[in-house]
Amino acid sequence: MTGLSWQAATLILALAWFAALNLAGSVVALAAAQLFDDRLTASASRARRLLALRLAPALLSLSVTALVFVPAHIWLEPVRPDEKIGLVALMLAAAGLLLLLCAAFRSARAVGRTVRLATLAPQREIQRGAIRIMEVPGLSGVALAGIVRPRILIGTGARRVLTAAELDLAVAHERAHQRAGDNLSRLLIYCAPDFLGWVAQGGRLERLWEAEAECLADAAAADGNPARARRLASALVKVARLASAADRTWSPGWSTFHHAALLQTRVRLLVSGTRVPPATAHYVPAAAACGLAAVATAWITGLPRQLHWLTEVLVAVLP
Amino acid sequence: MFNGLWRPAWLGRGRDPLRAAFGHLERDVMEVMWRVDTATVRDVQERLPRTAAYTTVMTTLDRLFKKGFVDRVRQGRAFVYRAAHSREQVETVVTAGLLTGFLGESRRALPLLSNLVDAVAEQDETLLDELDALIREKRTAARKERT
Repeated sequence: MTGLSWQAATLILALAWFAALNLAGSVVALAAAQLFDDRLTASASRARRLLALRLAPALLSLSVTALVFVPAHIWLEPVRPDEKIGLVALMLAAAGLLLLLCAAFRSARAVGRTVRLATLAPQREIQRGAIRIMEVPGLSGVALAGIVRPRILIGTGARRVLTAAELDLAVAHERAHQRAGDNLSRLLIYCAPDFLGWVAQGGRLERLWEAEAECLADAAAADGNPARARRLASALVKVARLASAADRTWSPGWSTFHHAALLQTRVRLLVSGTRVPPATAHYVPAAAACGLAAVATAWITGLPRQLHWLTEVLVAVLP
Repeated sequence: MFNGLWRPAWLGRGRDPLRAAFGHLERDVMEVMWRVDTATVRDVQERLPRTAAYTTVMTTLDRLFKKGFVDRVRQGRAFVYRAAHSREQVETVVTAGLLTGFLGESRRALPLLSNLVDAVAEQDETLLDELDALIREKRTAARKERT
């Protein structure tokens, strides 16, 4: 395609690079996912690795495109009135645009739900504190809802069947999710613009991370105390009995107490007396610092110039 | 692919918000429960705007009890039910989006849903009984150890 303005060409090339890097990142992540077996280890470091691997294609493609390619293109590419872009670049750009649009739709929907949650009248509030605890009729069990101002929601049915001690432990489980930032991680996975989310192996990575996150929250709630662990296991089974009756609740910004697929494993792990150290390390700032250092290194070593040169060559060579 | 991804809020205006949370019969039963103070299964059956078998109404009330929308107390051989929450309270919860999930979305677009959809599947009662027995057994063992 010829006669494109400089701005349009820049946008198309940026989208094409985003899609290409995303595709490459997804393929590498899929290969790396084979290294993880399905065995549940309830390990914080494994949960972090799974999450990092799941989000890597989106983070890599977005950061390289926005922080390396676009600035380099603006800096090095002379403004010309009629740019030429080939079919391959156009197709890649279309794929990149599609990924970003899907992510935008999902983000808008997730934000909408979070805002609606914030408008919930406090008439059924049970406890006010760092996290509000509210009773919700129709909810199957217990859930941590929201990210910025999370609330713990307790279904009327769950409140009825759980003893006070069991309810405390269910709440402790949800508080552990809140401390670990699991709702944010879940939302990032849901909104991540990548190809990995469209294939079964991507789903497997998410399930493995979800399982680890649940077991870690169980471990944090049990706090190494076998009696607490047994009470939590009992609460899990009681809530599971309610689950088929009230079953229409889920949102990407939620952590729910009950997961049918994980129930047996979690209960057996809890009653077996396995003590799992809860996650304490704050890895997000460290990961962000590493990312920034990588971008700085890329600029110092002249990667932007090489990327721009590669772009020129590919635009000239590819159809 | 885009099925259910996003729908403007104004498209849903004018609809009864409870339609999102209840089935047809459940909604009718709840309407009866909100009109009367307390009711037995027979009372509800007689007040329904549609014909429904006694056992169907009983099952519906039992489901609503498990969901936490009605309370019940045993009087003689029958249960007497009452609404656990007012219509306004339930509407608030539904309007806040707490009782409608993303189940309308395609599973392909949501790999994460794959196990969450499992979570809403009916749990195997036998498995739950086994797990209950396991917990009881561990509790007894711990008690014996202490004594």
